[in-house]
Amino acid sequence: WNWRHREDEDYDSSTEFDSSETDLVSYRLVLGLSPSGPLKLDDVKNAYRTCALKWHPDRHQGSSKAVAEEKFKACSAAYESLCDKMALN
Amino acid sequence: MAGKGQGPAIGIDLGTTYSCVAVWQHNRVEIIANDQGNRTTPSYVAFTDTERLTGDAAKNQVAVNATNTIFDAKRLIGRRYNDATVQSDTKLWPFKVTPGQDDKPMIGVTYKYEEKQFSAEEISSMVLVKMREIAEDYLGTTIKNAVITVPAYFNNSQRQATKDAGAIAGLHVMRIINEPTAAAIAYGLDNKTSSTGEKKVLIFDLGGGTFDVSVLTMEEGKFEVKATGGDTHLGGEDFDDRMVNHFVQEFKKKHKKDISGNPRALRRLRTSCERAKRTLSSTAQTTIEIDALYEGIDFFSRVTRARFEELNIDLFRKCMEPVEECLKDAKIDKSDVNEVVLVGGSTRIPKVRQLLQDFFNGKELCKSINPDEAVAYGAGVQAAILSGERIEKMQDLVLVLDVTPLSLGLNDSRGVTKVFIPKNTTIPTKKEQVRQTSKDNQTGALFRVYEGESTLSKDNNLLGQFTVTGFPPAPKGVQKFNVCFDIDENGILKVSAVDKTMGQMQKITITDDKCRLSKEEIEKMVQEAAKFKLEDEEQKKKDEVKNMLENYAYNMRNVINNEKTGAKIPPANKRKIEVALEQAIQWLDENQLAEREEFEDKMKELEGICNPSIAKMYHGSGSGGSDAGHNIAELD
Repeated sequence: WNWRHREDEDYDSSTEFDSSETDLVSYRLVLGLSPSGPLKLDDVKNAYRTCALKWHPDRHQGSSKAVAEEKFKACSAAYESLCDKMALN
Repeated sequence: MAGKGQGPAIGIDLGTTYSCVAVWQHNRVEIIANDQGNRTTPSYVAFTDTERLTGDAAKNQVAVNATNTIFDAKRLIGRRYNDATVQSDTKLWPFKVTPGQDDKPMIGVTYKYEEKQFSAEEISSMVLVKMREIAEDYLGTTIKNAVITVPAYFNNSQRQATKDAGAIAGLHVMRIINEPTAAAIAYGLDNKTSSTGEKKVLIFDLGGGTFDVSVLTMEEGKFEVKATGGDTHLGGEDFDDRMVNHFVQEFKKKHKKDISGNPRALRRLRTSCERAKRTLSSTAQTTIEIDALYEGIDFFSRVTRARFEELNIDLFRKCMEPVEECLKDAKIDKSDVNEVVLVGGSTRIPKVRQLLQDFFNGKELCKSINPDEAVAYGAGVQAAILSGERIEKMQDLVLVLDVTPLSLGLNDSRGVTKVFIPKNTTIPTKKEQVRQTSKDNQTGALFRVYEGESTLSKDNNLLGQFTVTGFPPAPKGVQKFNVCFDIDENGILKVSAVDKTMGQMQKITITDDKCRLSKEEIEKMVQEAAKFKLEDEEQKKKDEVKNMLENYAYNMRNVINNEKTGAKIPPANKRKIEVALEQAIQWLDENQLAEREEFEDKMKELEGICNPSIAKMYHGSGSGGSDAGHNIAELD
């Protein structure tokens, strides 16, 4: 997506989105994967599916809904980032 | 749980020409038939001098009340009057569409001798109320929650407007889902996902007036719309047209008369043709029989399936082009498509099925669910899942992950839309980016939010805008903003921008684009809808009282004229009653449109004259009845 191929736009790229090693570890942790070691796409998918089922706001009511929504967003972001990373390698 | 205490949640397929409602009951989906016994209901609303009609009742009177019978509201909803499609559609409709406030198209009708203006949301809400009532009658409870489907290509405004229509109809719209997604859910394709991972599905939806092709991929419960295509003006009605023209020619040849200038004859012919078309999907030939079609001439003819196919073959072939294009857009080879799903009544036509099957090299098509009902079916499943009651049983069945239908982004200083959230991103989602000023000494920054796939903002749809001001002048690039796009599970987008030096924040919730109804407007429309409902009920009561009076008068006349009973009434009274009855019947003929009170007064008046004599008559013969030993009394 666009923040990857940002050239000389008026808008500057930010540092928040650099997939540093620490980010990768936190993505893994968010999805409940081991922080290091080899990663298989199927494992990532399964982990995401489990997380998504657990945290989708449709499955929560009342006060836990907002928490679930944030968790779900984090899971999706982690999943996408890991998938992108694996597609690049 | 969202659904508790509010009755079950329903799924509604709000179609261009027909709508359909479904509910999850006894562990399966039920498609609910309307009061006429039909499982789909025309998306029609009609306004007459005396009443408002919806569904079958509205469609049945279209020929005599064309300018006040509204259909196709779906083609208007969430669009602007200046929209090219609105402009061309308006030319084809018999009803009036004019630009209203903020270029919102308004539909003009005459209702009870008054000029009235309705938005597309209001018309759609009336159809939704009808669908809700159908479900309430069947289930015997009130219904609050619903899932409504929209075409995959609907943009944010169209989806929000559909949601508003639900709100006006007094419904809580739990979710708006894509029609092709609903059809795929109906077939349970999502949980058939094997270990092979991603599944590719083509949905072929040929309805009464529109033709939609969508290519979806599904994986881990996430449905991605890869491409959509079709023809917004191709469907069953076009096939009817061809057959009508064919028979007009035949009539000309046989009887040397042209019926094409006679709307009534054409309408009767069209009805017969539609019926013949449906029959030809299961038989090889059928007949058309219309008495006194034109100038007293009876018209009898036969049509074979082969003939019907020949009349329409170019149209059928035309349906295959978008399939090919859609696959090309989705970059999917036809041999890689896992399932082909049939939706829409016109996919019952054997030739259409055959062409499609041939295109996919003989692949078996998904057709086990009634094609008119597949979308509502899926919406019903989704409604049950969202209402939460059955989640235990469905735990592993379905979790439909919604995705954004279009990319969302901000306009930059060169008029390019910089994407924050690409299309097909799973929602809820949140994306943040840092932006900076593009000019020296800038003290205000304008943030414009767009949706669409074009790089140039001018070709995309502007959703909303806001400004951040009050930061100190500085060289360009120094002032920075943290911009955040946040979409909740209902697809509501919030955009915020925080000025990094001053910490000021501005945000916007994209619900109030100019064309959209405000909360106050919706509230007003809800009240208006309640008023209409009251009027409809009043009309119904009036009809009942009128029928009662009519019944009473005719029954009484039968009593008087009957030899046995009539003889028991003294001649003087009999004469009086006869005169009163004659007057009442004549009054009824002349005053069909009288008020309810007038009917009630007339009823009382008539009863006052008739009842004493009738009571006497029964008393005179009462005790002489068959059961001598019993104490038999009259009923009031």
